[in-house]
Amino acid sequence: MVNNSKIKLMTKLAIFEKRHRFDLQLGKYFKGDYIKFNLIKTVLCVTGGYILCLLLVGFYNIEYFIKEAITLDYKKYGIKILGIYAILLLIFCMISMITCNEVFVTSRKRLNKYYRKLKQLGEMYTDAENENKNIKDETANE
Amino acid sequence: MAYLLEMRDKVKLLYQTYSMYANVVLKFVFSLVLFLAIRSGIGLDTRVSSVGICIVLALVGAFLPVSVLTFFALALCSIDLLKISYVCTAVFVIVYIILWLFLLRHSSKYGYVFLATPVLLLWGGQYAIPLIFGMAASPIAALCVLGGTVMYSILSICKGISAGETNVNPDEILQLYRYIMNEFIANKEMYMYIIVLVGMMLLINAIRTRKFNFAGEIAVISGAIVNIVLFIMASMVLEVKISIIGLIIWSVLGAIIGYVSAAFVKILDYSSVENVQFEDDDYYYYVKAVPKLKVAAAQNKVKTITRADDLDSFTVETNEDDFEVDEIDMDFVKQNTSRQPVLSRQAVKVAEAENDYSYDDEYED
Repeated sequence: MVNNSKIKLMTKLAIFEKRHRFDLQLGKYFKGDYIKFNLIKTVLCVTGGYILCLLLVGFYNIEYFIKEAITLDYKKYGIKILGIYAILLLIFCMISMITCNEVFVTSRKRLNKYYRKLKQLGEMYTDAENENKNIKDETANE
Repeated sequence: MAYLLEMRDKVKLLYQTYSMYANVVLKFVFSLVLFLAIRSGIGLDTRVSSVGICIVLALVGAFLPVSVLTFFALALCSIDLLKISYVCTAVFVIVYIILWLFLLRHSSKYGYVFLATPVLLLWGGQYAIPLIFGMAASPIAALCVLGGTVMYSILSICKGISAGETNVNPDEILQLYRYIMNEFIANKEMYMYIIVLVGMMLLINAIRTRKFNFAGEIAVISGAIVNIVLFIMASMVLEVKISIIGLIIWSVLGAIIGYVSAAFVKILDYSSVENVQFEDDDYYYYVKAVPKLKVAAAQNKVKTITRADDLDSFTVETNEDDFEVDEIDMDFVKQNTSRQPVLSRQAVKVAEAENDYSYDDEYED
Protein backbone atom coordinates (compact mmCIF):
# COMPACT_ATOMS: atom_id res chain seq x y z
CA MET A 1 0.00 0.00 0.00
CA VAL A 2 1.23 3.50 -0.84
CA ASN A 3 2.05 5.71 2.14
CA ASN A 4 1.22 9.33 1.20
CA SER A 5 3.24 11.01 3.95
CA LYS A 6 6.29 8.92 2.99
CA ILE A 7 5.87 9.91 -0.67
CA LYS A 8 5.63 13.60 0.27
CA LEU A 9 8.79 13.34 2.34
CA MET A 10 10.67 11.43 -0.35
CA THR A 11 9.54 13.96 -2.99
CA LYS A 12 10.89 16.85 -0.92
CA LEU A 13 14.16 15.02 -0.42
CA ALA A 14 14.43 14.25 -4.15
CA ILE A 15 13.77 17.90 -5.04
CA PHE A 16 16.46 19.02 -2.59
CA GLU A 17 18.94 16.53 -4.11
CA LYS A 18 18.09 17.83 -7.57
CA ARG A 19 18.43 21.53 -6.69
CA HIS A 20 21.28 21.42 -4.19
CA ARG A 21 23.83 19.01 -5.61
CA PHE A 22 26.57 21.41 -4.52
CA ASP A 23 25.41 21.20 -0.88
CA LEU A 24 25.44 17.41 -1.03
CA GLN A 25 28.99 17.42 -2.43
CA LEU A 26 30.01 19.87 0.29
CA GLY A 27 28.57 17.51 2.89
CA LYS A 28 31.43 15.11 2.21
CA TYR A 29 34.00 17.62 3.53
CA PHE A 30 34.92 18.83 6.96
CA LYS A 31 35.01 22.61 7.20
CA GLY A 32 38.79 22.77 7.56
CA ASP A 33 39.36 20.41 4.64
CA TYR A 34 37.01 22.39 2.39
CA ILE A 35 38.74 25.68 3.23
CA LYS A 36 42.20 24.13 2.71
CA PHE A 37 41.13 22.67 -0.65
CA ASN A 38 39.87 26.05 -1.81
CA LEU A 39 43.01 27.77 -0.52
CA ILE A 40 45.12 25.42 -2.65
CA LYS A 41 42.93 26.24 -5.69
CA THR A 42 43.30 29.96 -4.93
CA VAL A 43 47.10 29.70 -4.62
CA LEU A 44 47.33 27.84 -7.93
CA CYS A 45 45.02 30.29 -9.74
CA VAL A 46 46.73 33.40 -8.33
CA THR A 47 50.16 31.96 -9.22
CA GLY A 48 49.00 31.15 -12.77
CA GLY A 49 47.41 34.58 -13.22
CA TYR A 50 50.49 36.34 -11.83
CA ILE A 51 52.81 34.43 -14.16
CA LEU A 52 50.66 35.48 -17.14
CA CYS A 53 50.75 39.12 -15.94
CA LEU A 54 54.55 38.87 -15.66
CA LEU A 55 54.65 37.48 -19.21
CA LEU A 56 52.63 40.42 -20.50
CA VAL A 57 54.82 42.94 -18.66
CA GLY A 58 57.97 41.10 -19.69
CA PHE A 59 57.04 41.05 -23.36
CA TYR A 60 56.22 44.77 -23.20
CA ASN A 61 59.72 45.54 -21.89
CA ILE A 62 61.53 42.82 -23.81
CA GLU A 63 63.79 45.20 -25.68
CA TYR A 64 64.92 46.81 -22.42
CA PHE A 65 65.58 43.45 -20.75
CA ILE A 66 67.62 42.21 -23.72
CA LYS A 67 69.66 45.42 -23.81
CA GLU A 68 70.31 45.52 -20.06
CA ALA A 69 70.54 41.75 -19.54
CA ILE A 70 74.05 41.94 -18.09
CA THR A 71 73.77 45.09 -15.99
CA LEU A 72 70.23 44.51 -14.68
CA ASP A 73 69.76 44.49 -10.89
CA TYR A 74 68.09 41.05 -10.71
CA LYS A 75 67.97 41.07 -6.90
CA LYS A 76 65.94 44.30 -6.81
CA TYR A 77 63.54 43.08 -9.50
CA GLY A 78 63.29 39.67 -7.86
CA ILE A 79 62.35 41.18 -4.48
CA LYS A 80 59.79 43.45 -6.16
CA ILE A 81 58.21 40.56 -8.09
CA LEU A 82 58.10 38.25 -5.07
CA GLY A 83 56.84 41.04 -2.81
CA ILE A 84 53.91 41.86 -5.10
CA TYR A 85 53.20 38.13 -5.46
CA ALA A 86 53.16 37.66 -1.68
CA ILE A 87 50.79 40.61 -1.13
CA LEU A 88 48.44 39.42 -3.88
CA LEU A 89 48.47 35.88 -2.52
CA LEU A 90 47.72 37.08 1.01
CA ILE A 91 44.77 39.22 -0.11
CA PHE A 92 43.21 36.52 -2.28
CA CYS A 93 43.76 33.79 0.31
CA MET A 94 42.06 35.87 3.00
CA ILE A 95 39.09 36.61 0.72
CA SER A 96 38.91 32.94 -0.22
CA MET A 97 38.95 31.83 3.45
CA ILE A 98 36.18 34.23 4.44
CA THR A 99 33.91 33.40 1.49
CA CYS A 100 34.47 29.62 1.77
CA ASN A 101 33.63 29.79 5.45
CA GLU A 102 30.37 31.61 4.72
CA VAL A 103 29.47 29.23 1.89
CA PHE A 104 30.18 26.19 4.07
CA VAL A 105 28.15 27.46 7.03
CA THR A 106 25.05 28.33 4.95
CA SER A 107 25.30 25.08 3.02
CA ARG A 108 25.59 23.06 6.24
CA LYS A 109 22.43 24.69 7.64
CA ARG A 110 20.47 23.59 4.57
CA LEU A 111 22.07 20.16 4.70
CA ASN A 112 21.14 19.70 8.38
CA LYS A 113 17.48 20.18 7.51
CA TYR A 114 17.90 17.63 4.71
CA TYR A 115 19.50 15.13 7.11
CA ARG A 116 16.67 15.62 9.62
CA LYS A 117 14.11 14.77 6.93
CA LEU A 118 16.25 11.80 5.92
CA LYS A 119 16.19 10.65 9.53
CA GLN A 120 12.38 10.99 9.57
CA LEU A 121 12.25 8.79 6.49
CA GLY A 122 14.51 6.26 8.16
CA GLU A 123 12.19 6.20 11.18
CA MET A 124 9.21 5.63 8.88
CA TYR A 125 10.97 2.60 7.37
CA THR A 126 11.81 1.29 10.84
CA ASP A 127 8.21 1.72 12.01
CA ALA A 128 6.92 -0.05 8.90
CA GLU A 129 9.34 -2.94 9.45
CA ASN A 130 8.33 -3.24 13.11
CA GLU A 131 4.65 -3.19 12.15
CA ASN A 132 5.19 -5.97 9.60
CA LYS A 133 7.14 -7.95 12.18
CA ASN A 134 4.31 -7.58 14.74
CA ILE A 135 1.72 -8.67 12.20
CA LYS A 136 3.81 -11.74 11.32
CA ASP A 137 4.24 -12.60 15.02
CA GLU A 138 0.48 -12.23 15.60
CA THR A 139 -0.40 -14.47 12.65
CA ALA A 140 2.25 -16.98 13.77
CA ASN A 141 0.75 -17.04 17.31
CA GLU A 142 -2.75 -17.58 15.91
CA MET B 1 1.77 47.72 -6.32
CA ALA B 2 -1.14 45.28 -5.93
CA TYR B 3 -1.52 45.26 -9.72
CA LEU B 4 2.17 44.40 -10.07
CA LEU B 5 1.75 41.54 -7.62
CA GLU B 6 -1.25 40.27 -9.55
CA MET B 7 0.68 40.52 -12.80
CA ARG B 8 3.64 38.75 -11.23
CA ASP B 9 1.47 35.86 -10.06
CA LYS B 10 -0.10 35.51 -13.51
CA VAL B 11 3.34 35.51 -15.15
CA LYS B 12 4.46 32.95 -12.54
CA LEU B 13 1.51 30.72 -13.46
CA LEU B 14 2.30 31.11 -17.16
CA TYR B 15 5.98 30.38 -16.58
CA GLN B 16 5.12 27.35 -14.49
CA THR B 17 3.06 25.91 -17.33
CA TYR B 18 5.57 26.58 -20.08
CA SER B 19 8.86 26.81 -18.13
CA MET B 20 10.68 24.25 -20.28
CA TYR B 21 9.92 26.13 -23.50
CA ALA B 22 10.22 29.61 -21.92
CA ASN B 23 13.80 28.90 -20.75
CA VAL B 24 14.86 27.72 -24.21
CA VAL B 25 13.23 30.68 -25.96
CA LEU B 26 14.73 33.23 -23.55
CA LYS B 27 18.20 31.70 -23.91
CA PHE B 28 17.85 31.63 -27.70
CA VAL B 29 16.82 35.30 -27.82
CA PHE B 30 19.70 36.28 -25.51
CA SER B 31 22.23 34.25 -27.52
CA LEU B 32 21.01 35.67 -30.82
CA VAL B 33 21.20 39.25 -29.56
CA LEU B 34 24.70 38.54 -28.22
CA PHE B 35 26.07 37.07 -31.47
CA LEU B 36 24.43 39.76 -33.60
CA ALA B 37 25.97 42.40 -31.32
CA ILE B 38 29.41 40.76 -31.76
CA ARG B 39 28.79 40.73 -35.53
CA SER B 40 27.86 44.41 -35.60
CA GLY B 41 30.52 45.45 -33.05
CA ILE B 42 33.48 43.65 -34.63
CA GLY B 43 32.38 41.37 -37.46
CA LEU B 44 35.75 41.42 -39.26
CA ASP B 45 35.72 37.83 -40.45
CA THR B 46 32.73 37.51 -42.79
CA ARG B 47 32.99 33.70 -42.77
CA VAL B 48 31.99 33.41 -39.09
CA SER B 49 30.12 36.68 -38.73
CA SER B 50 27.24 35.86 -41.04
CA VAL B 51 23.65 35.93 -39.76
CA GLY B 52 23.27 32.21 -40.48
CA ILE B 53 26.20 31.30 -38.22
CA CYS B 54 24.81 33.58 -35.50
CA ILE B 55 21.42 31.85 -35.67
CA VAL B 56 23.00 28.38 -35.58
CA LEU B 57 25.21 29.29 -32.61
CA ALA B 58 22.22 30.86 -30.86
CA LEU B 59 20.19 27.66 -31.39
CA VAL B 60 23.02 25.57 -29.96
CA GLY B 61 23.52 28.02 -27.07
CA ALA B 62 19.82 27.84 -26.19
CA PHE B 63 20.21 24.23 -25.07
CA LEU B 64 23.62 24.40 -23.44
CA PRO B 65 24.87 26.04 -20.22
CA VAL B 66 26.11 29.62 -20.09
CA SER B 67 29.77 28.54 -19.92
CA VAL B 68 29.46 27.05 -23.43
CA LEU B 69 27.80 30.26 -24.64
CA THR B 70 30.72 32.25 -23.16
CA PHE B 71 33.14 29.95 -24.98
CA PHE B 72 31.32 30.50 -28.29
CA ALA B 73 31.28 34.28 -27.81
CA LEU B 74 35.00 34.38 -26.96
CA ALA B 75 35.83 32.08 -29.87
CA LEU B 76 33.86 34.29 -32.27
CA CYS B 77 35.63 37.43 -31.02
CA SER B 78 39.05 35.69 -31.21
CA ILE B 79 38.46 34.57 -34.81
CA ASP B 80 37.39 38.11 -35.73
CA LEU B 81 40.51 39.57 -34.07
CA LEU B 82 42.71 37.13 -36.04
CA LYS B 83 41.83 39.19 -39.10
CA ILE B 84 43.80 42.12 -37.59
CA SER B 85 46.68 40.18 -36.11
CA TYR B 86 47.29 37.13 -33.93
CA VAL B 87 48.75 39.54 -31.33
CA CYS B 88 45.26 40.97 -30.75
CA THR B 89 43.82 37.48 -30.32
CA ALA B 90 46.64 36.46 -27.97
CA VAL B 91 46.18 39.57 -25.79
CA PHE B 92 42.40 39.07 -25.77
CA VAL B 93 42.67 35.42 -24.72
CA ILE B 94 45.43 35.98 -22.14
CA VAL B 95 43.59 38.87 -20.50
CA TYR B 96 40.44 36.72 -20.29
CA ILE B 97 42.42 33.87 -18.70
CA ILE B 98 43.94 36.30 -16.15
CA LEU B 99 40.48 37.69 -15.33
CA TRP B 100 39.09 34.19 -14.95
CA LEU B 101 41.92 33.02 -12.70
CA PHE B 102 41.64 36.03 -10.41
CA LEU B 103 37.96 36.92 -10.45
CA LEU B 104 35.51 35.25 -12.83
CA ARG B 105 35.87 31.68 -11.51
CA HIS B 106 33.93 32.78 -8.41
CA SER B 107 30.96 34.10 -10.39
CA SER B 108 30.46 31.45 -13.06
CA LYS B 109 26.74 31.43 -12.17
CA TYR B 110 26.45 34.99 -13.57
CA GLY B 111 27.87 34.29 -16.99
CA TYR B 112 24.91 36.12 -18.52
CA VAL B 113 25.96 39.31 -16.72
CA PHE B 114 29.50 38.92 -18.11
CA LEU B 115 28.12 38.51 -21.64
CA ALA B 116 25.48 41.27 -21.34
CA THR B 117 27.93 43.94 -20.08
CA PRO B 118 29.94 44.40 -23.33
CA VAL B 119 26.69 44.33 -25.36
CA LEU B 120 25.22 47.15 -23.25
CA LEU B 121 28.52 49.05 -23.48
CA LEU B 122 28.36 48.69 -27.26
CA TRP B 123 24.83 50.13 -27.36
CA GLY B 124 25.66 52.98 -24.97
CA GLY B 125 23.49 51.41 -22.28
CA GLN B 126 26.27 51.02 -19.70
CA TYR B 127 24.47 53.50 -17.42
CA ALA B 128 21.66 50.99 -16.90
CA ILE B 129 24.00 48.13 -15.87
CA PRO B 130 24.18 48.82 -12.10
CA LEU B 131 20.43 49.42 -11.88
CA ILE B 132 19.45 46.24 -13.71
CA PHE B 133 22.01 43.88 -12.20
CA GLY B 134 22.13 45.57 -8.81
CA MET B 135 18.40 44.91 -8.39
CA ALA B 136 18.25 41.46 -9.95
CA ALA B 137 21.59 39.80 -9.15
CA SER B 138 23.81 39.26 -6.14
CA PRO B 139 26.93 41.37 -5.32
CA ILE B 140 29.22 38.72 -6.81
CA ALA B 141 27.88 39.67 -10.26
CA ALA B 142 29.93 42.88 -9.92
CA LEU B 143 32.99 40.75 -10.77
CA CYS B 144 31.33 39.83 -14.08
CA VAL B 145 30.58 43.50 -14.80
CA LEU B 146 34.26 44.29 -14.16
CA GLY B 147 35.37 41.45 -16.43
CA GLY B 148 32.93 42.43 -19.18
CA THR B 149 34.12 46.06 -19.09
CA VAL B 150 37.78 45.02 -19.41
CA MET B 151 37.07 42.69 -22.35
CA TYR B 152 35.03 45.38 -24.09
CA SER B 153 37.91 47.82 -23.65
CA ILE B 154 40.31 45.45 -25.45
CA LEU B 155 37.80 44.80 -28.23
CA SER B 156 37.24 48.51 -28.81
CA ILE B 157 41.02 49.14 -28.95
CA CYS B 158 41.44 46.34 -31.53
CA LYS B 159 38.45 47.62 -33.48
CA GLY B 160 40.11 51.04 -33.63
CA ILE B 161 43.25 49.43 -35.07
CA SER B 162 41.25 47.60 -37.76
CA ALA B 163 39.36 50.80 -38.66
CA GLY B 164 42.69 52.49 -39.42
CA GLU B 165 42.24 55.11 -36.70
CA THR B 166 45.87 54.67 -35.62
CA ASN B 167 49.33 54.80 -37.17
CA VAL B 168 50.18 51.32 -35.94
CA ASN B 169 51.28 48.73 -38.47
CA PRO B 170 49.46 45.48 -37.60
CA ASP B 171 52.38 43.47 -39.02
CA GLU B 172 54.81 44.92 -36.47
CA ILE B 173 54.25 42.58 -33.53
CA LEU B 174 56.01 44.49 -30.76
CA GLN B 175 54.73 47.87 -31.92
CA LEU B 176 51.15 46.57 -32.09
CA TYR B 177 51.43 44.87 -28.71
CA ARG B 178 52.85 48.02 -27.07
CA TYR B 179 50.13 50.14 -28.62
CA ILE B 180 47.37 47.84 -27.28
CA MET B 181 48.88 47.77 -23.78
CA ASN B 182 49.44 51.55 -23.71
CA GLU B 183 45.88 52.23 -24.82
CA PHE B 184 44.55 49.69 -22.32
CA ILE B 185 46.46 51.12 -19.35
CA ALA B 186 45.69 54.73 -20.29
CA ASN B 187 41.99 54.04 -20.89
CA LYS B 188 40.35 56.41 -18.38
CA GLU B 189 36.89 55.54 -19.69
CA MET B 190 37.41 51.91 -18.64
CA TYR B 191 38.49 52.95 -15.13
CA MET B 192 35.49 55.27 -14.83
CA TYR B 193 33.09 52.52 -15.85
CA ILE B 194 34.69 49.95 -13.55
CA ILE B 195 34.63 52.22 -10.49
CA VAL B 196 31.13 53.62 -11.03
CA LEU B 197 29.42 50.44 -12.28
CA VAL B 198 30.86 48.13 -9.63
CA GLY B 199 30.41 50.69 -6.84
CA MET B 200 26.81 51.45 -7.82
CA MET B 201 25.94 47.75 -8.12
CA LEU B 202 27.20 47.06 -4.62
CA LEU B 203 25.43 50.12 -3.22
CA ILE B 204 22.07 49.31 -4.85
CA ASN B 205 22.34 45.69 -3.75
CA ALA B 206 23.17 46.76 -0.20
CA ILE B 207 20.10 49.05 0.02
CA ARG B 208 17.80 46.53 -1.67
CA THR B 209 18.63 43.76 0.79
CA ARG B 210 17.94 45.86 3.91
CA LYS B 211 15.01 44.84 6.07
CA PHE B 212 12.88 47.96 5.93
CA ASN B 213 9.73 48.89 4.04
CA PHE B 214 10.08 49.97 0.42
CA ALA B 215 13.74 48.93 0.37
CA GLY B 216 13.48 47.97 -3.32
CA GLU B 217 11.83 51.23 -4.34
CA ILE B 218 14.32 53.34 -2.35
CA ALA B 219 17.22 51.37 -3.82
CA VAL B 220 16.11 51.87 -7.41
CA ILE B 221 15.20 55.55 -7.12
CA SER B 222 18.23 56.58 -5.08
CA GLY B 223 20.40 54.34 -7.26
CA ALA B 224 19.24 56.09 -10.44
CA ILE B 225 19.90 59.55 -8.98
CA VAL B 226 23.29 58.65 -7.50
CA ASN B 227 24.17 56.86 -10.76
CA ILE B 228 23.60 60.06 -12.77
CA VAL B 229 25.46 62.24 -10.28
CA LEU B 230 28.39 59.82 -9.98
CA PHE B 231 28.84 59.46 -13.73
CA ILE B 232 28.83 63.24 -14.20
CA MET B 233 31.34 63.71 -11.35
CA ALA B 234 33.57 60.89 -12.62
CA SER B 235 33.54 62.24 -16.16
CA MET B 236 34.56 65.69 -14.87
CA VAL B 237 37.36 64.33 -12.67
CA LEU B 238 38.76 61.91 -15.26
CA GLU B 239 37.99 64.23 -18.21
CA VAL B 240 35.98 61.62 -20.09
CA LYS B 241 33.18 62.59 -22.45
CA ILE B 242 29.76 61.13 -21.73
CA SER B 243 26.32 61.75 -23.18
CA ILE B 244 24.17 63.40 -20.49
CA ILE B 245 20.91 62.68 -22.36
CA GLY B 246 21.93 59.04 -22.82
CA LEU B 247 22.90 58.87 -19.15
CA ILE B 248 19.49 60.14 -18.00
CA ILE B 249 17.48 58.03 -20.45
CA TRP B 250 19.38 54.81 -19.73
CA SER B 251 19.32 55.46 -15.97
CA VAL B 252 15.53 55.83 -16.04
CA LEU B 253 15.17 52.80 -18.32
CA GLY B 254 17.53 50.79 -16.14
CA ALA B 255 15.58 51.78 -13.04
CA ILE B 256 12.30 50.58 -14.58
CA ILE B 257 13.82 47.33 -15.89
CA GLY B 258 15.66 46.74 -12.60
CA TYR B 259 12.53 47.29 -10.51
CA VAL B 260 10.37 45.03 -12.70
CA SER B 261 13.05 42.31 -12.87
CA ALA B 262 13.49 42.38 -9.09
CA ALA B 263 9.74 41.80 -8.72
CA PHE B 264 9.83 38.91 -11.20
CA VAL B 265 13.27 37.43 -10.43
CA LYS B 266 11.97 34.66 -8.17
CA ILE B 267 9.88 33.30 -11.04
CA LEU B 268 12.99 31.80 -12.60
CA ASP B 269 14.09 30.18 -9.36
CA TYR B 270 11.43 28.03 -7.81
CA SER B 271 8.15 28.36 -9.72
CA SER B 272 8.89 25.66 -12.23
CA VAL B 273 7.41 22.21 -12.08
CA GLU B 274 9.78 19.56 -10.73
CA ASN B 275 9.86 16.05 -12.16
CA VAL B 276 11.63 13.67 -9.80
CA GLN B 277 11.92 9.93 -9.59
CA PHE B 278 12.89 7.67 -6.72
CA GLU B 279 12.15 4.19 -5.44
CA ASP B 280 11.62 2.27 -2.27
CA ASP B 281 11.37 -1.48 -1.57
CA ASP B 282 7.92 -1.79 -3.09
CA TYR B 283 7.43 0.87 -5.78
CA TYR B 284 9.11 3.10 -8.32
CA TYR B 285 7.81 6.67 -8.02
CA TYR B 286 7.62 9.15 -10.87
CA VAL B 287 6.47 12.36 -9.21
CA LYS B 288 5.54 15.68 -10.76
CA ALA B 289 5.68 18.37 -8.05
CA VAL B 290 3.80 21.55 -8.96
CA PRO B 291 4.40 24.53 -6.62
CA LYS B 292 1.16 25.98 -5.28
CA LEU B 293 0.36 29.47 -6.45
CA LYS B 294 -2.43 31.78 -5.35
CA VAL B 295 -3.46 34.46 -7.83
CA ALA B 296 -4.20 37.66 -5.92
CA ALA B 297 -7.59 39.02 -7.09
CA ALA B 298 -8.41 42.71 -7.41
CA GLN B 299 -10.11 44.42 -4.47
CA ASN B 300 -13.78 43.49 -4.18
CA LYS B 301 -16.43 46.19 -3.91
CA VAL B 302 -18.40 45.84 -0.66
CA LYS B 303 -22.15 46.34 -0.99
CA THR B 304 -24.12 47.16 2.17
CA ILE B 305 -27.18 44.96 2.50
CA THR B 306 -30.12 46.78 4.17
CA ARG B 307 -32.40 45.28 6.82
CA ALA B 308 -35.73 43.54 6.01
CA ASP B 309 -37.91 46.43 7.38
CA ASP B 310 -36.27 48.87 5.05
CA LEU B 311 -37.06 46.81 1.97
CA ASP B 312 -40.15 48.93 1.04
CA SER B 313 -37.99 52.03 0.61
CA PHE B 314 -35.30 50.06 -1.23
CA THR B 315 -35.65 50.23 -5.00
CA VAL B 316 -34.12 47.55 -7.14
CA GLU B 317 -32.85 48.46 -10.59
CA THR B 318 -32.92 45.49 -12.90
CA ASN B 319 -31.07 44.99 -16.14
CA GLU B 320 -30.22 42.21 -18.54
CA ASP B 321 -27.41 40.89 -16.27
CA ASP B 322 -29.71 40.00 -13.39
CA PHE B 323 -30.53 36.33 -12.98
CA GLU B 324 -32.62 34.19 -10.68
CA VAL B 325 -31.08 32.40 -7.68
CA ASP B 326 -31.43 28.90 -9.15
CA GLU B 327 -29.43 29.98 -12.20
CA ILE B 328 -26.23 30.57 -10.16
CA ASP B 329 -23.45 28.01 -10.81
CA MET B 330 -22.44 27.01 -7.26
CA ASP B 331 -19.18 25.41 -8.46
CA PHE B 332 -18.11 28.73 -9.95
CA VAL B 333 -18.98 30.54 -6.70
CA LYS B 334 -16.97 28.04 -4.62
CA GLN B 335 -13.93 28.42 -6.87
CA ASN B 336 -13.99 32.19 -6.67
CA THR B 337 -14.65 32.49 -2.96
CA SER B 338 -11.47 30.56 -2.25
CA ARG B 339 -9.35 33.44 -3.60
CA GLN B 340 -7.73 35.78 -1.13
CA PRO B 341 -8.39 39.50 -1.75
CA VAL B 342 -5.43 41.88 -1.58
CA LEU B 343 -5.85 44.10 1.45
CA SER B 344 -3.31 46.17 3.38
CA ARG B 345 0.39 46.18 2.67
CA GLN B 346 0.90 43.84 5.62
CA ALA B 347 -1.59 41.38 4.18
CA VAL B 348 0.07 41.77 0.79
CA LYS B 349 3.40 40.80 2.36
CA VAL B 350 1.83 37.78 4.05
CA ALA B 351 0.11 36.76 0.80
CA GLU B 352 3.39 37.31 -1.02
CA ALA B 353 5.21 35.12 1.48
CA GLU B 354 2.56 32.44 1.08
CA ASN B 355 2.65 32.67 -2.70
CA ASP B 356 6.41 32.43 -2.66
CA TYR B 357 6.32 29.17 -0.76
CA SER B 358 8.61 26.61 -2.25
CA TYR B 359 10.22 23.43 -1.03
CA ASP B 360 13.38 25.40 -0.46
CA ASP B 361 11.61 27.71 2.00
CA GLU B 362 12.05 24.87 4.44
CA TYR B 363 15.80 24.87 3.86
CA GLU B 364 16.39 28.63 4.00
CA ASP B 365 17.03 30.56 7.20
